Order: sequence, then C-alpha cells, then structure tokens
Amino acid sequence: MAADTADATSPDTEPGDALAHIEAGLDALETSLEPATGRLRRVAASVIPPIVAVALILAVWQVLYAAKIWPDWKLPGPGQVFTSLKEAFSNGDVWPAVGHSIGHGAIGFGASVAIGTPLGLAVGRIKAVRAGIGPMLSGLQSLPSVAWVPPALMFFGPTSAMLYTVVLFGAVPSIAVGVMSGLDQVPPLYLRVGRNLGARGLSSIRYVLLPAALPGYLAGLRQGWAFAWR
Amino acid sequence: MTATVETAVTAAATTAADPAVRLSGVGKTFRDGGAAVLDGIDLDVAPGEFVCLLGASGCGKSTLLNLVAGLDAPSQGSVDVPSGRAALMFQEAALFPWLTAGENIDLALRLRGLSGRRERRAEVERLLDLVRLGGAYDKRPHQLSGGMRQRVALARSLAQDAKVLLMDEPFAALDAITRDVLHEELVRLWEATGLAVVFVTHNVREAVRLGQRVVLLSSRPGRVARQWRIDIPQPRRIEDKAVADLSVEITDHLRKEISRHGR
Ligand SMILES: Nc1ncnc2c1ncn2[C@@H]1O[C@H](COP(=O)(O)OP(=O)(O)O)[C@@H](O)[C@H]1O
Ligand SMILES: [Mg+2]
Repeated sequence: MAADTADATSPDTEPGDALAHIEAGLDALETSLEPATGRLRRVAASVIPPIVAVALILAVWQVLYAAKIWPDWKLPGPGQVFTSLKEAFSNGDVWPAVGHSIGHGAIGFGASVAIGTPLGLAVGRIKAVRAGIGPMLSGLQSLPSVAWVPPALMFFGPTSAMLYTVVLFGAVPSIAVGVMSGLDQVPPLYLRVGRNLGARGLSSIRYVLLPAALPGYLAGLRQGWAFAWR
Repeated sequence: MTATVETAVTAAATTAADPAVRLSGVGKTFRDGGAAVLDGIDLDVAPGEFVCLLGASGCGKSTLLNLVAGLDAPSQGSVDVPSGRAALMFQEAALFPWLTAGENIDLALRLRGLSGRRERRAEVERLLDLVRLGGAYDKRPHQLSGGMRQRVALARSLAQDAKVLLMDEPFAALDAITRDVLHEELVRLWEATGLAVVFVTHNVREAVRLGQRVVLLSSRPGRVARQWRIDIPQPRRIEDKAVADLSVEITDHLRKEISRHGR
C-alpha cells in the first residue's frame, strides 16, 4: 500500500497534522455553541418543578387555613396534619396498614412485570404467538381492572388471592402491550447493526432490542403500575 | 496511469493468496418468481484491497453488501469471507442513541467477547484517538455533528476487528467539505490498518478518489458491467486532473448503462 507517498506533497509540514487541524476546526464549527447541559443542571431541571409544586400547594393550603373559611376540623392547617402524622408513624399505628397495601401493590406489580415482559417479547417477536394472542392482549388491556373484581370475588372470595388476580389481570396486558409496541417502534436498522456487531439471540435482546424498546416499555410499566394500585 | 481491465482483474486476484471476499455466481431474488436484483456476480476482493462498487440507485449495491455482511443469504451462488466476518458501516451513522459515543464502541468490543473492563476502556480510547475524537467518550450521538458521528461509527467498525470493512454510501449525507476531509481520513486509516475495504457509492468522483479498483454494476439485474484498476498514487485529491479524467470516462459508461433502461 502507498506508505510514504505523503512526503511527496509537502516536505516541511506533516500532512497528518494538517488533516488533524482541519478536522478539529470542522468539529468545532459544527458542534453547537450552546454550553452542554451538565448533569447537575439536568437533575435540577427534573427536581425543582416538583419541589416548587409541592411548596405552592402547601402555601395555598396555609393561606386557606389562615383565612379561616372552614372550621379547623374540616380544614386543619398543614402544621397540624404533619404533627398528627408524625405521632401516628412514631406510635407505629400506621406501619402495618401502609406495609400491607404497599406489599400487595409491590408484589402484584413485580409479578406482573415478571410475567408481562417475557410475554410481550414473545408476542412482539414471534409471528405465530402474535397472531394467536396479540389481539386478545390488546382487548384485555383496554378493559378497566375493576371488571376483574366480580369474577375474582366469585372464585377466591375476599382474599389476597383475589386481589392479586385483579392486579395481575389488570397489569400484565398493559405491560405486555407496552413491550410489544415498544418493539414495533425499534428501527430495523438497529437490529441489523446489532447483528453485524455480533449480537445474537439473548445478547441481541439485551443490548439492542430492550434498550431500543425502553421508551414503550416504560410507558407500559407506568400503566401497569397504575393498575397495581387501583 | 489508469487501465481498463475487464476479466483480467478477477483472474489476477483469484490466483493470488486467499481473497478477503469471494463472490461466485451470486444471484439474489427477493420474492419467488420476482425479478432478479443481482445476477451472476463473480467478484474477488484481495486482502488489503480498496474496491469501490459503483452503480445507479436501486441497482443492488446495498443488497450485495448485506450478502457479504451475512445479513441476508444469496438466492444463487456463494458468498465467502474466509476471515469470518465483515464489519458494515451504513449511510446513517446508526449509532445507538441510548449509548454514548464511547459506549457504542465498547459494545462492539463486548460483543466480540472482550471481558476486561479496563482493557476495553483503553481500547475504546485508542480507537477514539485514531479517528481524532479523543475526549468524546461521554458525548451522546445527538451532540455530535454528522461527520463526527460517522467517525465514531468508523471507530466502532474498527473495534469489530474484522479483516473486511464494508461501507454503504457512508459519506452521502455529509456536506462536501466534511466529505472531502473524511476521504482523506479513510485513506489514512486504510493504509494504517491494512483492511480490505468495499466502498459502495453512486458518486463516480468519490469512487475514483478512493479506490484501487472501481467496479461498475449494471441495473436490473445487477451484474458486474465493467472494472477499472486505478493506479493514481495516494494521496489523491478529488480535484486532481487524473481523477477528473477517469471520472468522465466512467460516468460515460454509467450513463450508457442507465440509458439502456430508457429505451
Ligand atoms: N428486502 C427487500 N425486499 C424486496 N425488495 C428489495 C429489498 N431490498 C431491496 N430490494 C430491491 O432491490 C433493488 C436494489 O436495492 P438496493 O440494494 O437497496 O439498491 P442500491 O443500494 O443500489 O440503491 C431495489 O429495486 C429494491 O427495491
Ligand atoms: Mg443503497
């Protein structure tokens, strides 16, 4: 291959240097002048609005309380509520109740994710499975989860099993459909790039498919999360 | 300075050592009973050779590269890459947007089976330096210009450690100034790495600026219509008279190929 042909054109300046300078110049010119938003600023941008919102609500609440439009027992002030909440928590009255409902929600949600994710992958990637249960999943997903309460009550009575059934039937289709539509939105180019880089089977799912489908997946999880609490 | 060689080129390449890529009688039809996109393609690429595949839009250049990359299978004939795999670079940089520039390159190393975190990091930095993007490890693809993205993509292709680099119109979307600089960069990297390069383009000047050989494909079906060996020494410039003269000759042939379909 042409190795030292470069010397022929310009004996005094290193041609590689000249190229490096042009490239650096192009890079500088083509990169936007706006300062890159640092991590700190991004974090601030996502943290400050909710804090401001909470502060605003508290302020309005305090103003309404101070204006004495309603009697104290109807609208207690923020301060009073915090004191009694603090008492209840330090007495330990609330923990079992909170733990119970968080426990149900979290276990139900966790199970739904564990079932819904592989189900969505299967429906999204395997044609036969998609033709078989894809439409059914979309149908189930559009049902409100309360629709599952009567049959679940009939089968299990008012037990934890009944609660979990309702949560699962409500959340699994949402999560699976989220995975599915997330997969549909993955540009085929990414899969081809992944294959060329050597991603096959599971590594293709892990390194390409799932990250590319993540936005749709998260939307599905959010909806599933909502179902788990209802 | 330049020589028009038809069958002689293939014959010479075949008698040399194992080729980097060998296509024998390759045909491709997408639908049963549909028209052939590629037909009877015989083409050898020698190790370390820089070949430009030239042809009108839709003549099957991308299809051919996909076959060599193993992303698709030929309908007839055989595609052989004795070294195992070929790295493929696309027109769009096709960097994964959820990874940084450095992580994109790192993924190629990981999928190659390199497990040491520190070794991988050092290798990524080396490759970034090679495309003169040292310090860009943490940049997101959308923060980079088109030219920078293609250089990251090039570094990612080099990270695959293949002996063959396939490039599908990699600079077509770039402005002329950036493209010119990247031509120089690509030739420099090719000389430094000794890779066999198959560079697809519909830009005749680009093909003559870069290649040691230009292969003109016909359309519908895609066949090897003609080949030119290019002996103009590198570094060439796209403005060189020798480049311009040969470009005129090749363009005439390309136009003749295209107008066959207008009759
Ligand atoms: N997956 C596919 N299915 C059906 N036809 C295809 C497919 N890919 C390419 N083709 C057809 O093959 C021909 C060649 O396409 P392509 O290889 O992309 O051409 P080029 O890259 O030279 O512009 C075109 O007519 C195109 O429509
Ligand atoms: Mg193409």
